[in-house]
Amino acid sequence: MTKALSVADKLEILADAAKYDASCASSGGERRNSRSSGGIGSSTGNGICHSYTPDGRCVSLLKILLTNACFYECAYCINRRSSNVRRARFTVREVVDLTLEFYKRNYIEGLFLSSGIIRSPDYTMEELVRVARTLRTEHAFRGYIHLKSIPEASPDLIREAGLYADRLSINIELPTEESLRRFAPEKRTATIHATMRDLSVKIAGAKTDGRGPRFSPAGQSTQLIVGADSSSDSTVLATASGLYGTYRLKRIYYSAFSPIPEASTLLPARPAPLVRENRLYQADWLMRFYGFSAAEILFGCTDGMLDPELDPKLAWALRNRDRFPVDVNAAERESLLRVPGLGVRSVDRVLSARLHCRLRLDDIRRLAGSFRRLLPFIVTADHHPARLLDRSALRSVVAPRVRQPTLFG
Amino acid sequence: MYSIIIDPPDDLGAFRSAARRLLAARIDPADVTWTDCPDAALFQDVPPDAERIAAVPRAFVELAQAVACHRDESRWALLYQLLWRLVAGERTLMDQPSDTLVHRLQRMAASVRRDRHRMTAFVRFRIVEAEDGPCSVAWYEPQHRILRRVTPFFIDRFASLRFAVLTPDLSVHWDRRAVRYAPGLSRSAAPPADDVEDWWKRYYCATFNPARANAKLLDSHMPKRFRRDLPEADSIRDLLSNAGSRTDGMIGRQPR
Repeated sequence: MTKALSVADKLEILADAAKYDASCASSGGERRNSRSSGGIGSSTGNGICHSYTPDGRCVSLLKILLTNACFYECAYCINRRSSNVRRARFTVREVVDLTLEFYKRNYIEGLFLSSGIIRSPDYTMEELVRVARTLRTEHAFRGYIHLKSIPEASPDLIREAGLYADRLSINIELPTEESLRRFAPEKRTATIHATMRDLSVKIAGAKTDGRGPRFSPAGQSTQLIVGADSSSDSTVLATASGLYGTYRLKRIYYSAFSPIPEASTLLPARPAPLVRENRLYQADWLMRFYGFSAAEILFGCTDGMLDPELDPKLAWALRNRDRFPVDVNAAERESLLRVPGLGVRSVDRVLSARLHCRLRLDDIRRLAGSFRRLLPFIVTADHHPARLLDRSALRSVVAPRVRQPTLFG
Repeated sequence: MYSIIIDPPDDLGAFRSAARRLLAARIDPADVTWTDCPDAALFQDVPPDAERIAAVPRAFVELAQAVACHRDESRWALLYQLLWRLVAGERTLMDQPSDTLVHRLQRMAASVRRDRHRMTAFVRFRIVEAEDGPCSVAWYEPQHRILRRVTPFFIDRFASLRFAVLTPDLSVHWDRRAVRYAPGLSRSAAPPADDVEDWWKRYYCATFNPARANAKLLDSHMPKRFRRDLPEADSIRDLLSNAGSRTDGMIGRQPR
């Protein structure tokens, strides 16, 4: 660096460098406040989005890197060592002050801190931990802290990170080991998995033993880049389903590969369509809250890809017409959850309301969010669909009227 | 015909007391009008003094706490109708979200809940140097009369700071020990921007990825009417209009 950068300049560079990480959640933490701590900060357990950027993404945390200098050469990353991007580095004090000043003004719920790898994994992790330790111990900061855990860092540092952080994350980056080797030569799938396993054991341990030391009470999450390699949705969802099952992750973030300045020639020429990311999130939701397996969601899909034009729940219903229509006055919760247009909360309202009366269409109109698309799939006291329409006719009734945005649409 | 004045307009205690007297006298909801405005009473009749302590479900109390903040003028009449039916024997009514009245009141409560959540998100403090030290001051315009309900959130969070939240209906002041409410203030009472606000705006611009620009999604999450008092929202128009050329630039620069 030829000329010293101001803190504001660094903020711009290091926020720009951190923005490709999709996670910004501030939920799932402990309930706490500052009424007797002398410091600032609280958490209700529910996240708060303090703003939204013009890409529609939530701004909940101050999301920055400690430094964007890095000696790794990950092709998809703007900060890889061969990139010509401007480099900057915050001091621990600068990050602490920025977090507190932003927090006091109610701009943010807390800090999401990550870093390029400098000197060594342990050195980098130690710097991240120092920021969290200073916030928690010197300033009695009770806001949310999300730290990136560096895969190769020593167990003691990870233990201390978990003591201060609400959430830890480590990015799996790509859906297959082969792709990771190709695009991120310094990273190893085995090391990433070992770290996730270690985190999951520590998180579960701290939960079971309430009197032991705190460890990342809001769990761990990860991010997977979609469309940088040739992996299909079926590979992505199989990987995701394995990660949820094995390491009990709180969230997996799917990030459609998008062009970066100073891109590597290894990367595809075109960005991945955002609709692909959207469908993967919908499928992820179905696996976590609606009792679907990855195999059910993907069964019958062409080349292992989700249908970009239909949400995966509707697509599943169309492939499984023999399971419809569902009688809202009699069906089990599991069957109701599979009705396109009925969300978890609508299902709970239906179950509560039907204890007291036979539900009619007007009742369903009040209980469910999206009424029109439900009609072909349900039976009520005063409604029975003649037969489930064929796909093309059905589409005109239930198909989304909004075109999905593409990056260059 | 009875006319009940509830003043201040979010005073659930006043409603409760009036409703108990009305219930004791078995006065049908159709024979009661409710108003916030002390001068508006057309019927001077006051209900008798006896109060009937009716056991109401916990769910009704929670619903009423939220609905009391709603600006809809029919809020007290609707709550009294629900109360009337609950004590008249429809004991499970609160568990019937498909009932027209319950549904309507639950939607009003949901609107208040959303407004409270938005207020915890979108209040922006500016730090003002006063004689007795710094004070965080925010001006905010909530959709409903929610300030009293949201104040504990800000105390939980900023107990060690002095702060004030000013709204058109009511203001609240916290001096690190006690809460004091004061009359409402107009937007012109908003404090001027402080130095950190410019850093926040720069952060907001830097964390935006132009390759993902999506004005519709932004509008659905943060509709225009809520952006008026957000300092960072000034940048939205430029960020969106330059997003295309910034993205094309990135693709054009790819060495291939």
